[in-house]
Amino acid sequence: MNNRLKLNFFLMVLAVLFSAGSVFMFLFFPASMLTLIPIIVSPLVWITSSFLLWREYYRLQHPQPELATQDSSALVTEYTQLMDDADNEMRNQFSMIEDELDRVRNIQTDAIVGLMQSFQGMEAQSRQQLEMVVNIIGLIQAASGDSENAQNFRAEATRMVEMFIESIQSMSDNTMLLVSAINSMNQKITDIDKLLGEIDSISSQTNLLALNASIEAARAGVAGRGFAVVADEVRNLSQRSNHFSQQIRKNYSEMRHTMDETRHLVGQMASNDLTLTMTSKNRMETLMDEMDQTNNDISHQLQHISAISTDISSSVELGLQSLQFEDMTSQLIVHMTKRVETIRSFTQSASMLRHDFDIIKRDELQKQLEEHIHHLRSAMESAHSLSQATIKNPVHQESMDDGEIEFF
Amino acid sequence: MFTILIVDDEAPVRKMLRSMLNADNVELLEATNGNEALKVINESDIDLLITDIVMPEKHGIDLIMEIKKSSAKLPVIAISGGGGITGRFDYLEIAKVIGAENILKKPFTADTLRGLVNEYIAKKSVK
Repeated sequence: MNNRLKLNFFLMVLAVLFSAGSVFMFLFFPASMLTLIPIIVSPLVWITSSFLLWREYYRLQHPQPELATQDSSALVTEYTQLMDDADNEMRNQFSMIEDELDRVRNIQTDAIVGLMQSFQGMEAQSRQQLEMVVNIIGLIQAASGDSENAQNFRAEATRMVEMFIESIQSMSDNTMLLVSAINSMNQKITDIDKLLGEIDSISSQTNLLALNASIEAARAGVAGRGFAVVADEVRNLSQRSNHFSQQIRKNYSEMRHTMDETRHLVGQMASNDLTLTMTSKNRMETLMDEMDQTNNDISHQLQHISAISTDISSSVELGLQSLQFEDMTSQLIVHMTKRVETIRSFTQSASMLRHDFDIIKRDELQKQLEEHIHHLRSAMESAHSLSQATIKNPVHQESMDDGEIEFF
Repeated sequence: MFTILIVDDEAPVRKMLRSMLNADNVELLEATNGNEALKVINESDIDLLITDIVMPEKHGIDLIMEIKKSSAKLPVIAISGGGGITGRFDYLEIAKVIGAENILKKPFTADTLRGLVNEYIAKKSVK
């Protein structure tokens, strides 16, 4: 119970006591002068108490701001100072937020431009790489004989090789004629050897015969003298025949030696040819296998490169799509900026309102209040509109994986 | 026992020759190329050499030349498909030039081969 009500209660009690006292005095001391005191004072107390009650009632119905007292003014001052400091700090923080948002926007924009250029460059290089691969595949196919030029080249090369082979074949035919001749000569030489043997045999027998004839001629004495001469001549003929046979044999031996050398040369030539042919054939087969393997490896590698080029293009497209986050975040930053402005207007209105509460002018207070309420309502409507707008905006995703992005 | 060395790089050919020449008085040895044949000749007493011409490592021409250089008494029968592998030279004719006693061009009959071999067996018996 406040002090005023206590005073009123006391006055009422006093009024009741004075009323009771006046009644008592009037009843028991009607002629006394003291009786007038309670009769006069009692109504005054009643009037005063009633007035105070009415005033209290009026005050309750029509509250008035209490005037700052000497005791609360320091607190208000301190409170006001603190609120000013808080207000300044909030403004400072909001300003910094705006600066940081601008920086984020600028950094993001620069980074996005750089990334776009990088991705576009990569895509262009990937396309060039793919074109080069296609060209290389075309060249390999042309070299392997699928094109008209390759077929003409192969036909011409085949003709030249056939001419070369014909030439070698001709040489070989002549060589085989030589081999055949050597074989015939070999046979003839063997025959000659046999004949020489016969000649040696005949010569030897003739010599023996001549010797026998000489012996018989000597036995016959003078009659056998003519026979002895004939025998001597026969011996001479035999010896000469033997001498010629020896010479023929010597020539035959040299001829045989030459024949052996010729046979050795022919054999060596055939051996070299056969060795070279077999080695070339094996080497050619190996080279063809290696070439086929190399061609297969190249084809596989080129197909692999082609697949990688396709993958690169896909990755670049994904990157370009991902760069759309710039639009999303820019919109979010714009919304954040607007929110900051809305909050600032709130705080400004609240600050102004707080200051005006300090004004000790009641008649102006209502007007000030109405203005601030108007400002606050405007700020609230702006904030509400902003919320409605951002709830329906397309940038509602929380990550890049949330689906397709629609631009507006 | 008459020992014959068969030299050919193809197993079916060696098998065919073995079936043609199989007899109680004949011992058959085999080699797949010229180097193997020379090794067998050095280690065993061979009476007759029947060799192919076109073989890997050491072909028949080189084998015959080496044999004739070191041991002219070992008779040689050269066999071939004829014309070698390129058709440039008739390697059988060349084998004859370098000293092979007989040449047989494929295809030849078993009787032809056995006839030749029997001649050499008879010559050895006479000696």
